[in-house]
Formats: sequence, structure tokens, C-alpha cells
Amino acid sequence: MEYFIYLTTTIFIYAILAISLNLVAGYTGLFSMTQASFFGIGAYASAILTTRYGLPFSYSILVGILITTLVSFLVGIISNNFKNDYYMLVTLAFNAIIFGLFVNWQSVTHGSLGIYGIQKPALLGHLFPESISFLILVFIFFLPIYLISYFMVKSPFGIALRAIREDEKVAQLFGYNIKNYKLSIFIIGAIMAGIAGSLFASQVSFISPPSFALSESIFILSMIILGGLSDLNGSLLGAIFLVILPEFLSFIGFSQEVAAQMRQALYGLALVFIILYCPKGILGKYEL
Amino acid sequence: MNKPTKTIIAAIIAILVIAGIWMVSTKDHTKKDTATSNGKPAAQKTVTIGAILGLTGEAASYGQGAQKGIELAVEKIKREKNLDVQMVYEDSQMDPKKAVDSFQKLTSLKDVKYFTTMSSGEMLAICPLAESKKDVLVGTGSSSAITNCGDYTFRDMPSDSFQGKEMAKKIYDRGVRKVAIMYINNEYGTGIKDEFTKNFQGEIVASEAHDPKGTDFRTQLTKVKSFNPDAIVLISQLSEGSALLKQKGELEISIPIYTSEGLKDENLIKNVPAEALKNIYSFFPIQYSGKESKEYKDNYTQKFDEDYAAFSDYMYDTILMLADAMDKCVNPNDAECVKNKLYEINITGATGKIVLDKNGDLEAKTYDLYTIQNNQFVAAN
Amino acid sequence: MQVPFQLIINMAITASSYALITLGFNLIYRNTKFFNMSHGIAMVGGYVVFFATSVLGWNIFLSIFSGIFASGIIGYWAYVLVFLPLRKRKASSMTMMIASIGVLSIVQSIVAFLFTNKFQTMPNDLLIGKTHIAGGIITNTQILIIFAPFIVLLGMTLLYKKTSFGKIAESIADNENLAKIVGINTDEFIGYIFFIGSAISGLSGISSGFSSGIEPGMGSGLFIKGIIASIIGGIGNIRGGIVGSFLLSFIENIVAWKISGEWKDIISFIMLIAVLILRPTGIINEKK
Repeated sequence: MEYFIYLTTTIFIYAILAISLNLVAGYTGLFSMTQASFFGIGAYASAILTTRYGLPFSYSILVGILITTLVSFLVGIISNNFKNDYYMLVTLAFNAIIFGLFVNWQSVTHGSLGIYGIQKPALLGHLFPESISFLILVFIFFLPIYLISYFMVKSPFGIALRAIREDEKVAQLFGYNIKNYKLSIFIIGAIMAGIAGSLFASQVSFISPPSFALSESIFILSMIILGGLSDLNGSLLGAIFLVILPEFLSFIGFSQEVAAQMRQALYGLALVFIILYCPKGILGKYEL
Repeated sequence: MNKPTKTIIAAIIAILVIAGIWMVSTKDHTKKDTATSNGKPAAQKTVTIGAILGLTGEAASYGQGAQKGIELAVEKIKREKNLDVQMVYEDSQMDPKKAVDSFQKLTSLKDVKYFTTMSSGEMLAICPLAESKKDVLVGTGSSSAITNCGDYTFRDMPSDSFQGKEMAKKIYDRGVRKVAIMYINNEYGTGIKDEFTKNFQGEIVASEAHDPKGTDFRTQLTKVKSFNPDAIVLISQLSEGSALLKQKGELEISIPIYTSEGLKDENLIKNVPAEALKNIYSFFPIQYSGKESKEYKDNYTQKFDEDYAAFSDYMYDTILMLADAMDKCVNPNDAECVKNKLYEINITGATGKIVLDKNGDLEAKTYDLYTIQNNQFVAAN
Repeated sequence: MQVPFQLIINMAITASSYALITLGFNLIYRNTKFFNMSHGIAMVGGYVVFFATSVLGWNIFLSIFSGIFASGIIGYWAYVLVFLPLRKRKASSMTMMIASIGVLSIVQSIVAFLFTNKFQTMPNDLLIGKTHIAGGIITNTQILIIFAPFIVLLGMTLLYKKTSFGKIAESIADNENLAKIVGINTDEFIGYIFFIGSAISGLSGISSGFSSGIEPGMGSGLFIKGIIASIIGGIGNIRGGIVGSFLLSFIENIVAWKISGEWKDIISFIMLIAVLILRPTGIINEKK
């Protein structure tokens, strides 16, 4: 039962991540390859503030939001000058740079040593076993993020985003200040990813740089392409699928060797397969 | 995608999710029955130990070796004690994050209370979790941070703080006054480097980090050479160390190199041309050569038809430690009792005498120096 | 501090591995206009050579030849299975870039599955002996490695200038639709381009194998640098790639020398972003 709760918690955390990227990529057409960096910033903010300075979780979330806002502002402004494949390349470079900082800025992040012993925040006293109360906490973050995203995409703001995705020049002609829209959604996405990161740090109790490398950004991209771009439920679906399927494979008895490599092959296959044969993904409304 | 396809996919996902839920929520109850169903005397008690190892991935050779060592331990225990040890293995690829996932799986699904794992990163990641669940963790991690990591964590591998200190002292004693450090940029390398730096009385002219998986060390080697150190201290792991030493040979750098224990490995001799292996000295915890060690190595070769894997003997001993403590408890599944007995342990395993201090650490061990002659590691003087 | 000649030698060796990648990468980009992230499957070349010499006991030159050939074939298959169908449906270059990321993941996991993640070194050196130049040392194999990209470049230049292959390739690069109208089977021809480009990059995997060693992840690390070098030199520009490689290697090594090795990677990505912002067409400007 515990493991099931653990898995469900993981799914919701990744669902938040998937939604964060879907808003930026699926709805607005900005295929950012650096979402894992904001995930990492949120995680490190939370880890450092709670373990080294003993601050409560709520503080660390706020600080995480602050830092992701600043960093995404900078990254967003620079990336905004690029489109499509160049946009992917530039954001990819930022991912690598921020990853490098995680590894080399040892005085802050402890480098490859990582940060361990991250506690889960106490919620509702000891009413529930710790794992369940943490699941509730994650859900308390997931729900508003989902709802906010839902209303955002339905609103004129969301329509503007999609217009930008379809044809930037036309959107500009209609008077939209596309630079502002692109920057805003990028920052919003980064903040959400950061929140997911803070939750993630508490869940796994140990973080280190490899969890936030380029491969993670690719993983997040796979989730939304599989689940479907431009659809929030698609993000949730993609998260469920790509988190559970590897577990399933190792359960039904594939040898450890095979299961480990299959996990990576799976992400790649999901990407290639979907693009080739099912470009909208499962629930998506936009195809590549 | 059209409607029917969508429905099929949705159905597949639903099946997967439900199957997943069903699988994970059915606990493994069979272990309690093995005692009687095997026809063994009912007095034999069954315990389950979870081994979280890097069975695939970069360190697979270590993980797989550990698994073999563990199997030997289980057999030995079956012969000598009234204890039926059931092992459950999880592949962590020596990645702390995966190790945490594995721990969660084992502790909640299979109700495992005893764990063993190899690397420092994994031990550090699991230790607080084991602590909160009051599960016992015995491992071979060497990071000095493990000392204070928890009450329920024990290890039979000397702490790196020892290695860093020993390296500093022994190298200085050999007349070396100026060193350049080249270390791998992970918790292992940084830990030993820090200890060495604190304790070395001579001058450290350079301290260069290299990335795990790095392949090009030429410029760093050239840079280090330009500082004219008496010796280079190389703290690294097999693949990086091999490439580095190979390139050192190509650059005809003949400065003596002192390495950490990670590089006292037969594979190094395989991977690096003999020319480059001159003047290499490797530290390694003093090899125990008593009969327990011989017995282990012979059994290993006999059963698996190959030389025993490095560090597999330490993992073998972690199981012996657990079994010894379990044996002293009325109920071997009482983790609390086992934990207390571990603090009192006094056995001689394949790696020598094992006595632990109040932190669950080995009392100080010393390190030997080895060098390479005739394509083999021999004791250096 | 006097910079020893050795540093120049080191720089040249790394630059050449990058250069080999840029040659293949730019060749493919010229004709297809997308960033083929799966170019890293070059590692196959290294593994084939390793396998052939150590397991099959083949002669070293035969092994190298088969390694190059195998890399070419893999690239060709990737084209036929993934990129050709995408081109047929006029997929955007960004879509193809994402698909190529998927291909890379898949091939990497297959290689890891077949050969395990262990790091291996090549059993034999290609040429024995070392040469001393101006106080620095270089092995004879390394001399060959340094000259390799220039030899390939020479081969390519001859191919382009002396054969109709070159004319066709350039016309496709210039204007694919026009080439089609004239009757060139562009799809088939680009298949050849993919083969050649991948074979060249296989050579880089082999040379990197001799220079340090092989492991499944080598393809991505090395080739991302190759992509950066290509862009710095001017994407699609064959000669530019070589210039970019030397520039990148030069700066990386200076950083390693003056500051320290850890910041090498971060600097290369900062360079990428800097070039993209300041001079997106790269150092060498194509004469149009």
C-alpha cells in the first residue's frame, strides 16, 4: 500500500511538471529544453533551506518561486529572440549551464555530493501516516495548479498563447505584444516546475545534479508529447504512463538488465513512435 | 489519432494502472511459509534482507560481484546457523535516487527490515529513511558523512576520512612535499580530497577536479606537470582513472602517482599500457590474509569460475554481520534487537576483524600501499 | 606563464574529434536543414571496431572499415525509418529535431544493453610510437587522428568538385523543390547523404575510442560539442565546422588551463549562446 501511495505521489509531482511544460510548449509553441533546470532550482532551494537553515517548507517554496522567477526571466528574455529549433537549442544550452552550476557551485549545492536527509513537511500533525499526509500535500499543490492552468487556457490569455503558437506574425498584427506573452508563460511554467521540484526534494529525501540534467528535460518532453500537447489531461496521462510503465515492466519479470535499459529506450520510443504515427499524442489537440 | 485508437489506448492504460495497483498492494506473504513448506526443521527462522545494488549501469561489475559474494554468505549461513536468509535484490544502478525508489519498494511492498547497499551515495540517501522506519542498513560506503548519518546504519568499510588522513600522512612520510591533486568530481572524490587537504602537511600546488565520465585529461595533466609537483594524488574511479593514466603515459609524464583505493583494480592493468603504469602507488585498506579471506576467495573461484570481484568480500561480510546479530536475538525479525547486537559485534569475516564503534563505524583501519610490478599489484615499500 | 607546445597538441587532438563530427553534421544539415541530434549514434563505430578486434580478432584496418560502414548503415536506417517518413509529410525541422532526440535515446539504450555500460579501451593502438615536437609529445596514432578530418575534407572536396554527386548535393542544398522538378530523386539522394554523414561521424567515434576509450554515453557528450562547434563555425558550412572545432577546443583548453577543468563544459555552452545571439550565421559567412 505504501508503495502505491509513493507511486501516486510521484505521478502527481510529474504531472505538475508536465503541465508546466505543456503550457509553454504545447499551448504556446515554445519547446523549451530546460524545464528540468527549474525543477532543479526548486528542489535545491527547498533542500538547502530546510536542511541547512532549518526553515519551514513553506518558506522554501516561496524562495524557490522567487529564484525561479528571476532565472526564468533572464533565460526567457534571451530565448525569446529565437524560434523553433533554434529555441530548442538555446534552451538546451541553458539546461547544460544550469546543470553545470548545480555540479560546480559546491559551496551552495554540495556539488555531486548531493543533499540528503530532506524531511517531509509536517502536515495535519500525526493524523495520517507520513506518506499519506505528504500525498495530500502534493495534491493540495496539484489541484490549484491544474485549475489555474485550466482557466488560464480558456481565457483570452490562453487564446493569445495559441495564436502565438499558430502564427506569431499574425498575432503581432492583431496587436498582441507577443514578447510579453511568451515571457510571462515561460515564467509561469518555470514557477510551476520549481514547485514540483520542492515537492520532489521532500519526497526522495536526497537530491543530486544528475536528476536535473538534459535527459530529464527530454523525459518531461516525452511525457507531454505522449499524453498530448495542448491538453492538460494529456499531461496527467503522460505522467501516469511514463512513471508506471517502467515499474510495470520490472514487475512482470523482465530481468534487471533488460528493465533498466528498457526504461530509457521507452522514452525514446514514445517520442519517435508518437511523432511518426500519432502526432497528436493520446489526448492532444496540437500536432508536431 | 482516431476515436477507436484512442479508446484502445485508454483501455490499455486503465488495465495497466489497475494491474499496477493490484500488484503493488498485494504484499508478499509467502516468506512466512517457507520454513515449514520446505520440510526444514520448524525451528529455522526466516529473515528477508534487501540488497540494493548497481546490477546494471556503470558500476555493474561491482554490483554483480557483490551479488555473488552475498550468495556465498547466504549459503554459509544456511550451513552454520539455524537461519534461513531470503535475499531480495533491487537494481539501483548505483544511483542514489533509484536506491531510494528501491528502498521504498522493498520496505513497503515486501516489508523488508534489513538492507545492504554498496556506495556512499546510496547509503546516505537511504540512511534517513531507514532511520525513520527503524530499519537496519549495513553497507560498504566510505564517505565520512555516513558516520553521523544514523543509529540504524552500520558499515564494514573504513571511512574515507581515514583514507584521506592516511594518504596525507604516508605520502608525506615518503618524503613528498609538493603534491598536485586530481580528483573525480563526485561525493567519493570530493570527500577524500577534502580530508587529504586538511591533513597534508606539505604544499598542495594544484587541485583539479574532473567530471565523472570525462575522457579528456590531457590539458589538466599538462597543467599539473607545469607546477612540478613531487607527486600527483589521483582520487578517481576506474574508467576515468584508466583514461587519465593512459593519457599520462602518452604525455610521458613520469611524476609518481598515488591513487585512492578505487584504482587498485585488475581492470586498470588491463586497460592501461604497462608503460603508463610505472611509478603508480595505490592505497587500499589493509588486505586481510587470514584463513577466512582465503576461504572466501577459494569458494568464490570454485563457484563462479573467476577471481573474486573487488569489494564483494566486504558485501559478503555485511550479510555475515547481520546474521551474527540476528542469531543472538530471540526473534531474528526484531530489527531493534538486531540493531543493538550489531553495536556489540565481534566477528572475523573475509575482510578481517569487524568491531564497530558507537557510530556503527569500523574502528580505525590502516591502509597499505601497493604498486604494479609484472602486471600485478604487489605491496610497495 | 609560458604555454607549452603540449597544450597546442592537446587542443589539436580534441579539435579534430569535434571536426569529424561537424563534417558529418553539416553535411546532413546542408541538405535537410534540421539539427540531427541523433548524430551521436557515431559511437556505434567505436563499438564495432572494439568488437571486431577483440572478439572476432579481425585485422585493425578491416575493423575500422567495418566500423565506419556500420555507422553509415545505422544512420541510413534512422533516415529510412524515421526521418524520411517525416520529410514526406513535410514535418518541420523542429519536429525532426525532437524525433532525432528520441532516436538517440533508443540507440544508446540498445548499445548499452548489448555491450553493458562498462567503459572499455581499444585493445590495440593503430600506429605504434610517439613523436616529440618542440617539447611536446604526441603518439603517432594521435597524429593520424589530427589529420583525419582534413583527409575526409579533401575526400569530400574532391567528391563535390569532380563528380556529379557534388552538383546534385549542392542543388538540393540550394533549393530542394527545384531539384525535384529537374528530376532528381531527392529522397533517395538524401539517404546517401545520411549514410556518408553518419559514416564520417562513426570515424569520430572510432578516433575518440583510440584517444580515450568507449562507453555508451560517449556519443552524446562528444557530439553535443560537435554541434556547438558546427554552429560556431556556421551551421551547414563544411569548412566552418572545422574552424569552429578549433576555436571551441582552443577556448575550452584555455579555460581548463587558466581556471580549472570543471568549467569547460559550461564555457562551451555559453559560447553557443553568445554566438547565437551575436552572430547566428557563425564565424564563416557563406558566400551566396
